[in-house]
Amino acid sequence: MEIQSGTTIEGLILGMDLNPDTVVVECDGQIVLREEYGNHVLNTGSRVELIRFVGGG
Amino acid sequence: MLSIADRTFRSRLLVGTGKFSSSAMMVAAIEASASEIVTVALRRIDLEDPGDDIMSMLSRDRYLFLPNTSGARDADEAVRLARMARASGGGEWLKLEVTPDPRTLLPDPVETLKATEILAAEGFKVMPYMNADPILALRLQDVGAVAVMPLGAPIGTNLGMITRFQIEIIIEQARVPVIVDAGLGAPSHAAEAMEIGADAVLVNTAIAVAGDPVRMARAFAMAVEAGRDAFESGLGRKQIEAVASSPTTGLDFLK
Repeated sequence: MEIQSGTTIEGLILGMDLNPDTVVVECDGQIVLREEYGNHVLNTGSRVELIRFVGGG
Repeated sequence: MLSIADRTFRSRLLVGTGKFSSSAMMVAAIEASASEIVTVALRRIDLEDPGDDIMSMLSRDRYLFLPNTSGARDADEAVRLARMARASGGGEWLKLEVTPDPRTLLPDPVETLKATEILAAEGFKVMPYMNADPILALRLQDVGAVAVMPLGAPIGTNLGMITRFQIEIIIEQARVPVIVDAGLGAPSHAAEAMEIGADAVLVNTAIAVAGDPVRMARAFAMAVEAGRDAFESGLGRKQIEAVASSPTTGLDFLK
């Protein structure tokens, strides 16, 4: 997806109306710590996975 | 009280949060179950339709969230999911599931043992889903599992305690809690597991897909309590020949 340059992970999550406290982010295969969401700027070509808890047994 | 690792729980019924028709139904059923431990899965967020956030529906103060590694096909995938669960604030608790075959969803014993050892060393409180194999249960506790979760029957089958005799051996030998997971389709199945001395049971499908999940959750809660009371009270031995319940003396007047 297209995002504005300079967007942080926090910005991406909030922009999608998600709660940063309940989203796990993997950027290029590495887990990003929650404390880093505000500082971590996404680069062109970054592969971002947004994962969270869902119902399961 | 049920003790697992450093925590104690009043309820011996763990419930899964999958397959409910709505989030509201899930919350109501879990409340009715009086459970204190709920399992959750980790999945990619659908950006087109994010749906309800389960973490905002159930309070972490009230429930221990037990993330599972469902979907993992080998130890590496399970370890990756476990680390994600911890990063998401899921804590150290983990229901480890490694199921390479989608048809049977049976757990891979070799990969499960491998992942348990890795994750326990990383500080996870690992509760592995396992086939009802007494030797494997010992091996898993030896590498650091805080509980073992043998299956009564394969996931979602509702077949009940088809592994009963193996589970009896596991219970007899284990030093960690034994939680019967999977395949329990009726409250009587849960009661049977508790009667033979299981420390707890985990139920998801049977509650979630019931016509009335709230009432079914309550039925399971009662069955678990009944089974535990029966176990602690001491059940009588089974035998083939009859033993009279009424006095066999004092019948002289009939003669």
